[in-house]
Amino acid sequence: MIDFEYHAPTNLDEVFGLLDQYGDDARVMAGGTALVIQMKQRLSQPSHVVGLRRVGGLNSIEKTPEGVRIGALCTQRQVENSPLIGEEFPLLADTFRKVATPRIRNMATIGGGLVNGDPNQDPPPSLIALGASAVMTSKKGDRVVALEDLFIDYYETDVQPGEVLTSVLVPRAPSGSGSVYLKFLPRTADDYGTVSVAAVVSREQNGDCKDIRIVLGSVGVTPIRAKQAEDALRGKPLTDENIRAAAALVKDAVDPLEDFRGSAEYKTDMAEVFARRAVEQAMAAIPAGS
Amino acid sequence: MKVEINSVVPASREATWALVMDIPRAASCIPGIKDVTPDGEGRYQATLTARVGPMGMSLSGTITVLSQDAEAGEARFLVEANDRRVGGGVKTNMTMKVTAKSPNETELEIVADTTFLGRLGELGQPIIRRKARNTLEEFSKNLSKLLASEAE
Amino acid sequence: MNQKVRLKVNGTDHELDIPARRLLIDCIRYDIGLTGTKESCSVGVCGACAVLVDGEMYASCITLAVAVDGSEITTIEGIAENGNLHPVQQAFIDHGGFQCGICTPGQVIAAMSLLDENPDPTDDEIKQYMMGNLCRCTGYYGILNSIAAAAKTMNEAAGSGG
Repeated sequence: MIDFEYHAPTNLDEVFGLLDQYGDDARVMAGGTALVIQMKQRLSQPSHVVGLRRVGGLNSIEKTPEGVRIGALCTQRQVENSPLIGEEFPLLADTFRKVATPRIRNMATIGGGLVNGDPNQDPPPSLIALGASAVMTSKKGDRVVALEDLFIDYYETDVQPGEVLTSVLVPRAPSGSGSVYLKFLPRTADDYGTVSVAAVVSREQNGDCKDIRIVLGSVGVTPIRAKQAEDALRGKPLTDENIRAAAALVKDAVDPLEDFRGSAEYKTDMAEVFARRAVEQAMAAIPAGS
Repeated sequence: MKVEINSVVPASREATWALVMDIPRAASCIPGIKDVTPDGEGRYQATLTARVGPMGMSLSGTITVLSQDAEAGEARFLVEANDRRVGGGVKTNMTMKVTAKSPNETELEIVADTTFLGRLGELGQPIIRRKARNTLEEFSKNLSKLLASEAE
Repeated sequence: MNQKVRLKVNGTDHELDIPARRLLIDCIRYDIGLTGTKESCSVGVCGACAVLVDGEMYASCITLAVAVDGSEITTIEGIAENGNLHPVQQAFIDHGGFQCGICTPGQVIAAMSLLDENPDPTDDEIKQYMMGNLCRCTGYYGILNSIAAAAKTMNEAAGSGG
């Protein structure tokens, strides 16, 4: 690792001051699970590391009128084990439980994971499927970005110079929704998914699809929302035939990178399979009577 | 690794050829490039900042014109650049060919064969390939835009 | 550049003057001299380097020492009390919880962390929690048996007021 200077600011104003002063030479560090490895491998070589650990007020999970606000420094394990999340956002509790290992979840934070912009991570598909957004804070104030628009390219996000992701806002899914996060893990349980899919579905009185979101991970340079597949189901009866036809459209939405988890072609095929299963299982998860 | 880009630009063959051989102006169409300065006959120095995944790079090196044939409309270049901090570099053999399609339309063919050295070579090939293709596509689009703006 | 870092390791205060890039594993092993904690994969995957940071299990191979300045660290050397092995350590000895031993300090720390959170885990919960601690001898059944036995011992001791 190339040497650097570590800064431990205790409030956001100090953070902004340091980012102003050091600009491109500085990297912000939360849990450090991704950044420290990148620095060890010399993929990232900042001269200044601005650690957020001592910055107060960024690690609570609070109920809001619309849903929940999760502080950016909440560890992934904190989200997984939060009673509030468990009760109101079982999809998130399940998704965070699937991240790496308990030890990594003790260290890694929700905000750090998002700004790292690794397309293989578990939380982004589920958070996007729920319509979550990120609050970016800078000297100029807050800017709210839909998580769907946060991811720009491989490890590139819409975080602007001088900005820090400070919280994640997750709206409550409409009542009568069913959701699921599927992670295809043919290798080991702590791996990244070969393909992952989050689906949130709600139904009309007559059983037709009221609304649906299907978001995939590990099949492109960013998480990918399968809008065409969603459009093919919204307002239509949720029959096997319609679901199959919609899942087939997912193949056109994805653009996987080939790696040791499989060829691009294989991942494309698996994206269709897992999208279909995700829609079926999200439907099955709709509470009875709704 | 070989990347080929074919496009039709809205300019005459002469104007396109003139731009391709005006290295500082043509190079300005490469995303992230700056400080293109002559360094002897048919040789230029330049720096390029690029991002591949988590890695930010500042490549500095040279562009050399290996051959040019105005009649055939074909020129060959060698681009060699290194990043000292990251410890890696690129070596690209590039051929550009212009063919008249009509008086104000020219086919521009770019073939780039690139070798990645050092740390850059260690990043996953699929992501590097995608980045190289995107960069060349952007280059070709920018050339086209520049020619279109001149034609007006 | 060197920076001041204060750590309380197994109850002893240390004030160190170390480069910002010093990893916690190297700080513990070389600056403080406690070599019980092992480094294996170096990328946070295998669990050999597990230590407790303010009671939470961390991978010390991807933790900067400077980032945990002011924390209390517990390593494998700090869990025996008054010369008596921790019940998890004793259970690993009694139930064949280790073979070559390189993963054992991490396994023991992880098992303690599990039992601290969940004193009476099911077999499945033990597997779920311990999935991040690899054993290159593949002695997993011995490890699982040891943890189940340790839980039993600790719960009996707690139940009898001991």
